[in-house]
Amino acid sequence: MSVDRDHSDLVHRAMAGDGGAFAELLRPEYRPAVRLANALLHNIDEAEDAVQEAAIKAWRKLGNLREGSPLRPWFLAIVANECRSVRRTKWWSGRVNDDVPESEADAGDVAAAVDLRLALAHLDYDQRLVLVLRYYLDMPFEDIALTLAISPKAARSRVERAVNRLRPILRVQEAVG
Amino acid sequence: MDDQLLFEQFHAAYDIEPRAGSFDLLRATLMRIEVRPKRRAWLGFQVPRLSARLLAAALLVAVAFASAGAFIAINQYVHQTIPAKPHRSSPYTIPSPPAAAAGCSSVPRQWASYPVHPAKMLSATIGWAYGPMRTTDGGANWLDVSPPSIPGRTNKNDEFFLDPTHAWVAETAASVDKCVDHIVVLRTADAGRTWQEAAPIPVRFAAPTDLIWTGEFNQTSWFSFLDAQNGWLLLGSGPVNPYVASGGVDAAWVGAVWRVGDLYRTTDGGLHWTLAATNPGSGADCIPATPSVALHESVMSFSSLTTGWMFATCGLLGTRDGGVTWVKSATPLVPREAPVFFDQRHGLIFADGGALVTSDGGVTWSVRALPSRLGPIDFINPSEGWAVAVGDKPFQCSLNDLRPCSHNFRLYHTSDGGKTWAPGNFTSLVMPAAKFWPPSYLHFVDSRIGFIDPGGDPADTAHELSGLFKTTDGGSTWTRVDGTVEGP
Repeated sequence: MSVDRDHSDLVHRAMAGDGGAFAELLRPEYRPAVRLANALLHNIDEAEDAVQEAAIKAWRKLGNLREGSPLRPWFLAIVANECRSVRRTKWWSGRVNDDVPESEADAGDVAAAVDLRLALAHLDYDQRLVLVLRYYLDMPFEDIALTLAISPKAARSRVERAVNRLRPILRVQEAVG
Repeated sequence: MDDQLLFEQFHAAYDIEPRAGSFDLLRATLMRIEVRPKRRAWLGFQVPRLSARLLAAALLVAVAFASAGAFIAINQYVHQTIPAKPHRSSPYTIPSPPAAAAGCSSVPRQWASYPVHPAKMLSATIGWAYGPMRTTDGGANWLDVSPPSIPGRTNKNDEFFLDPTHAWVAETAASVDKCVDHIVVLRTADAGRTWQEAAPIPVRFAAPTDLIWTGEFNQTSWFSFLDAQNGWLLLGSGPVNPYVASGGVDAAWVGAVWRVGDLYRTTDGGLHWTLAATNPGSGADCIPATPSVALHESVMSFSSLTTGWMFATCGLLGTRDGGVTWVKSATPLVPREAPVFFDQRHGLIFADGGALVTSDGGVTWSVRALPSRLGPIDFINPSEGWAVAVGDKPFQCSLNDLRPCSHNFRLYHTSDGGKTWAPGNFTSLVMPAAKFWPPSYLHFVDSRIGFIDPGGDPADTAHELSGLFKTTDGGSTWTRVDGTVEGP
């Protein structure tokens, strides 16, 4: 049986209500989904919770996925939306309590990580999202475009605008840091 | 800044793996619940053009009647008083009432959470937290004083705390044909013992698929009250972000971008609201925006009955007629929120690259520098303020090392309106906790008494190191004060 046949079989079983089949469909998407959620929420507990909620919603909406469309961009869009909804309280949305890399990272690396996170806190959600998709999940513009439901050209443009917005903030932080 | 450097920086800042067993947990959950996805027909069909036009006309008529009805309802509505819920101990979850419209989601809301993160401390003893919850002993104990849920309540809401007794809650609610289409404002004037419910306010939608505007993370910022009687409420709606719409996600819970909106005003403490302006900013390139940085985080503020400010995508909007007309104000830095005013002349705004201060009621703004790597910041008057910023190195202890860090976050103080900032005379802002993460809330009620929420530690699942801390000596020493949460 081909990979496509396997995939198609899993989709049909998931559509029939087979949770195990849907879990298998999501298995390859789980890691990028958690990484995306963690980058947007800055908390691994909340990230895994958000992915779980997104998974349940995705399963309910599986019929919306066009046949032959890749699962990952579609699912990551749902995860991104779930992350957007997770934080209600005001001070959480902009808080900078980022779990910076621990372990052997030296002070310079840690400071750079904090700089980046603080700088990202100055961007709006959509700009943070495109930067995370591009530079953390290493997604090509074509996949970013599918996730955001825009053209690849528009995806590239959005990434460039977000980088242009990020750049002066990082420079200011480096200069005064 | 080249692409490769950005790839490296993002990976350095965020690299993390799902925890062992977490996918198995998800799989078990999916196998436990019962879901039957609905098939969606992708074979489109043509709607006859005449029928489509008739349908559009019918919709317009229906909207016109609904708006007229709502207007009449608002102006004839007699508010009702309802008591707060009886109380019980320990955190709890109240399921939201089921939404009326088919396909609308209902998300249970955790009203009382621990540790409590304060929204506004008003004195050494009295403060509010979202919920709303209230403390009368400086944060040691919190009482849930929230009003009962309204029918069709959704998870989009906003709360505003003015003083020890006055607070407002705006709840969105569903109708029979839309997941969110009106707002209900509740007011308390007795510290949450009783609540008065105002007439529903309809939200205008330019298109049937539009949603209520909420900003980032569904973070709403609709209210601004000048005093117990005079307040403003900013409601907007717009299309869902296109990338979200494509995902087949539940659009009812997605914050919309701003397309059309109304500014309402009250002069009786929120019991009645009248339309003051439509589409402040009045252009697609200048629309209200929610602040994305946690400072004071207000989208709108008023320094008098006539003078007010609004944070917008084009910069800072100002009104001199109580909110009827708005014009863009020139500022030397790009603001990140609406200003905070201490009186009618003195105010400040946090902006990209520093702060802006005014001593002439916002006619002119001067730039002030802020400590680098800034966290939360707070001023008690135009001169005196505090700020928390990342220390030099290393700012955080290892997760496996509970010894106090020698350097981490530093508290800065200014007594000249931000012209100069002096670091606190302490080696760290460790407080009782050995591990300290960037704080999310800082507020001083006077020169000596202040509160800080250190933000918690992801590894501290028992919340032993997180919570609310208080100083009574201007920030030199801090004591943990948070305690119990009581719910209904």
